[in-house]
Amino acid sequence: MSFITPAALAMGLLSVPIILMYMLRLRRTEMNISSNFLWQQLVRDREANAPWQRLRFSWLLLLQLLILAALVLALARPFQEVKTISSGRIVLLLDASASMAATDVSPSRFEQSQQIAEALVDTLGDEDTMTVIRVADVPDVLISSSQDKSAIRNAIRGAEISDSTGDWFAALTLAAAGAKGVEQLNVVIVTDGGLPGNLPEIPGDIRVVLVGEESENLAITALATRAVGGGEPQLFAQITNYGTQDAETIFSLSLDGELFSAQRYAVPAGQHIDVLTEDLPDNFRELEATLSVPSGSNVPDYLDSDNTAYAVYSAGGAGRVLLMTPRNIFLSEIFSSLPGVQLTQGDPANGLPRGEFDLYVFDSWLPARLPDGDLFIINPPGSTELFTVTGTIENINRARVSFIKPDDPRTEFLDFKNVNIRSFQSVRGFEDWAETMIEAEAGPLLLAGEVNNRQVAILTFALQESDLPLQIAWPVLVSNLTRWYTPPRALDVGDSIAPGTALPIRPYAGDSVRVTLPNGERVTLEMGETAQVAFADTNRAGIYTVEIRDGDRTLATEAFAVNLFSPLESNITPRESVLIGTVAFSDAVREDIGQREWWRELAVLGLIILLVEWLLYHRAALRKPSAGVPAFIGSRLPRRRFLGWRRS
Amino acid sequence: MSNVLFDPTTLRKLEQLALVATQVRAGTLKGERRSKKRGTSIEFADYRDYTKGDDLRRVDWNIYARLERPFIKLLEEEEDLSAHFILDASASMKWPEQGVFDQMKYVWALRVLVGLAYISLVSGDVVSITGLRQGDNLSWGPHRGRAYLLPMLKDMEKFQPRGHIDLNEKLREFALRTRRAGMCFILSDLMCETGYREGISALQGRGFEVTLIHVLSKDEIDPKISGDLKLVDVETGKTQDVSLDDEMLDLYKKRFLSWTEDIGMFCMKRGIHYVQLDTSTPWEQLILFELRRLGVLH
Repeated sequence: MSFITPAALAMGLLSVPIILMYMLRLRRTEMNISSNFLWQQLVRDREANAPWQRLRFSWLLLLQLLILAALVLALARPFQEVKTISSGRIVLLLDASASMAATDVSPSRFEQSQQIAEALVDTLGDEDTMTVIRVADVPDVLISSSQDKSAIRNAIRGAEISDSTGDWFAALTLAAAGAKGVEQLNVVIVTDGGLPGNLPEIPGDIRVVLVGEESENLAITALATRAVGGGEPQLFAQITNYGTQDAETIFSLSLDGELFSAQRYAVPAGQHIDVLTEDLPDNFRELEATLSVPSGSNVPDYLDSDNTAYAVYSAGGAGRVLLMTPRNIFLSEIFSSLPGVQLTQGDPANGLPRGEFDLYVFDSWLPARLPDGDLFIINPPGSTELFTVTGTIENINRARVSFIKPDDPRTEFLDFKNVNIRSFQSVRGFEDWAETMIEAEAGPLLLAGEVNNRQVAILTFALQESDLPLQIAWPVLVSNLTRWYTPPRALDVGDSIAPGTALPIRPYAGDSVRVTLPNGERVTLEMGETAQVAFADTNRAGIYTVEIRDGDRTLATEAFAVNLFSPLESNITPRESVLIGTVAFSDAVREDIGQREWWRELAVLGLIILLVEWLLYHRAALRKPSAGVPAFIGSRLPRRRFLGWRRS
Repeated sequence: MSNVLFDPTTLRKLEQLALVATQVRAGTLKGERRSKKRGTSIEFADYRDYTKGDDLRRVDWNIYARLERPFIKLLEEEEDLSAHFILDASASMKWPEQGVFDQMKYVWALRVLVGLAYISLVSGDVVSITGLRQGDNLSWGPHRGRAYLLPMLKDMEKFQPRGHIDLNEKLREFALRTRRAGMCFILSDLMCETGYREGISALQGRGFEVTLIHVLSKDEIDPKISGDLKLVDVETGKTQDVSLDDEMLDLYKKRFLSWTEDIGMFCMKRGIHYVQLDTSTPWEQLILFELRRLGVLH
C-alpha cells in the first residue's frame, strides 16, 4: 500500500486538538435559577474550577478520532498496484451498436462493457488520462483526455446503446487523431466483435476486450411489401437463425397496429428461411413483423432489437404507360398486371400515338424523336441524343453478368446469376446522365439515370434473346423500375433504411416538413432555398411519418421504415479476435500495472462513522423527541451542534 | 394576565373570603384562653381610680354615688388573638422571572398572606405583617379591624422583594423583637443555605404557634432543563456548573424529595403546621381547603 499524497497524513495532527477539546472544560451556557443550593449537592464534577480535566474514555472521542483517521487516509489517497488491461494515455472505444443489447451475459453486453470500462478507470494511475468514445452510427466523444475519474465514470455510465450499426471506421479514425503528438497511445476497444473486416490500421497499442458468450439469435433480416402482377400485396420476409441450434419462432404480422397473422416457423441453425405472405389486404399502410420465442422452446433468443421489423406499403403505380412492342407478350403481361397502371399498347409500325404518357416503353423500336416523359428502352435498335449504339455483341460468355450495383433501389433483390443472355446491344455515350446498374464483361446490360427532368432506363438486350422473362428477376426488375418511375415523391427510399441514415426529403410543394418519429415525437423542418431538407434523426427502428405542409395544411403524407437488417449486428456469435488492418487482436490479458485507489471507500467509512457518532450524540433526544424547555426558564438552551466537542 | 398584585380577580376572591370569615376563624384556642389584661368584656375584674382621659362610659356610677369618687370598672377582657405573618421577600421568591405572573412565588405568597390577614382582621384579631428582605424589613401593624384592609393592600403593594437573607437570623430577630406571641404564619421557599430550623425554634421558644407555608414553583419541583449549564443563583449570584442529563435530573428529584421530607419531619416533631404547595395551585385553595384540613383555620 502506498500513498499518492502522503503529505496529507500530517493532517492526522488534528487529533491533538480533538483530544485537547475533550480535556478542556466546557464553556457552559449561563442560566438563572431561583436557588442553586440543591444543585450544589448534586455536582458530579469536583474540579469545577480547573480549566483541564482528566481525559476519560468517551465513545464520541473514539468515533471522532476514527472519522479523522478515515478522512486523513482518504486525503492521502492510498493505492494498491493491480494488474490492468492498459494504462497511460488511453482511448477507450465503447461499442454501443445494436448487438451490444444482447442479454447472453447479465445484465447485457453493453452494461458489462460499461462495468469493464469502469474497472479500467479504477486502475488509472495518477498521471493517466482517458478519452471515451461511444461507437454507434456516429462516433461520439463522451469525454476527452481527462484525469478526472469521477467525470470519466459519469461519462461511461451516461452512455446509451443505439439501434444502429457502429461506424468503426470513423471511430478508429477519431481515436487515431488523438495519437498526434503523443508518445504512446493506448487504444482499448470493448466490443462483442461485430466489426467490419476492412478497418484501417491505426497507430498505438491496441487492446481488445471481448464480451459475449452465446450466439443464439433469431433475426428478421429482410422485410418488404409489394403488389406484383396487379394482384394483392405480398410480403417478403427473411428470418435468419444465427445460433448453433435449430430454433422455432412465431412470426407475427400486424397491419396498422392490428394483429393479422401469427405463424410458427422452424429455422435451422445457421440458416435462413424466406417467408412469403400473399393474402395481405391492399388497404393497409404500416406493417410490423415480430419474432417471438414460442412457449416450450428451450432455444433462447438473446437479442431483441432485430426481432421486430417494419415496412410501409404504397399502392402507387407508374400511371399512364405506353408500350410500343412488336407483340412481346412478356412485356404486355407484366405491365398490365402492375397496380395503378393504365396501359396503352401501340404498334411500332404505326408510329408514336398521340397523347401524353407518364412512361414510354419502347421494345426494340425507337421513334424519330424521343418524347418528353420517362423512358424504358429495351434493346435499342439505334442511337439517340441520349446514347450511342455501337453494335451487337453476340458472345454468350461475354454477356454474363459481372456486376450489379449494390444498395440501389433499382437493383434491390435482383438475382441475375442464373440469367443467360445470347446477345445485347453495345451502348456508349450515356456516362453523363446514367449509371450502369447491371454490367456484363462486354458492356452494360441495364442503365438508368435522370436527364432533362425525366427518368430513363435502358435494357440493352431483347427479352427474347435471354431467359430473363422466365426468371424471378424479371418481375422484380420491372417492379423496381416502376417504383423508380413513379411520379416524384418526397422520399426516395427503398423498402427501408438503416438506423442513423440521413434521409433527403424533397417536397414538391409546401414550406415545411413535419416528421413523426416512432416514439410519437415530432420534428418540423423548415424548407430552405434548395427545396430539400435532410433528416438525420433516424436512430430508432420503426416507422417514420413525413407530412409535407404548407402553413397549417398538410399537402401529402408519406412514410418510411427504419430497420436494422444488419448481419454484423444480428450475428452475435462471440468472436475470438477482431481484425484491424492486418492484425487480428484477441481478448486482451491484464498485463499492465495500474493503481487501485481506496480513498472512496475510506471516505464512505468516515461518513458512516460520522452518522453513528451523530446518532450516539443524539440518542437522548431521539428517545425524548418532545422534551422541551418551559418558556419561563431564564435563558434559552444552546442548540445542539452536529459535531459538538462535548462529553457524553 | 395582569401584572398587578391585587387585581380585580384577587380582590373579588378577598371579598368572598370576607363572607366566609364568620365561619373561618384563626386560632384554634379562641375562646379557651383568657387574657390577663383588663378589657371591655362584661365579666368584672377590679376597680381603679379614674384618671384623665378615661372613657366616661366605663365609670361605675353606683360607686361614685356611694363614695363620690370616680372609679373605673375593670372587666376581664376576652383574648384578642395576635396573628403574625412573616413573608420571605428575598430575591429567590421573585421566581419564575418569566412566565405567568400569578405563579411567581412572591405574588402567590403575598396573596395568601393578604387573604389570611384579611380573615384575621375581619375576625377582630390583631394582625401584624413582617416582610423579610435584605436591609430594611417591612413591618406593618399591629392593627385590628376590617378598616385596615385597604391600607394593608396599599402598603403591601409598595413592598418589593430584594436581595439575600439569612432566614434563621431574620426569624430570630423577629422572635426577640416581638413582645406579644400568637399565631405565626411563615411563607417562604426555605431555599437558604443556612437553613430555617434555628429561626423557627426561636419563634416556638417565644410561644408562637407556627404555621409554615412552603412555597415552590413548578420548575423547582420538576426542572425541564438539560445540557451543560452554569446555573446562576438569582439571590446570591453564586454559580454552579452542571451537566444535566436524564440521570442527573432524576438525582435532583430524589434530592428534592428528601429535602421536603426532612422539612415535613422537622415540623411534625415540633408541632408545626406544614403545607407545601406549588404556585400553579390557586392561592385561595390553600386557605379554603389546605389550612382547614390541617386545622389551622376552622
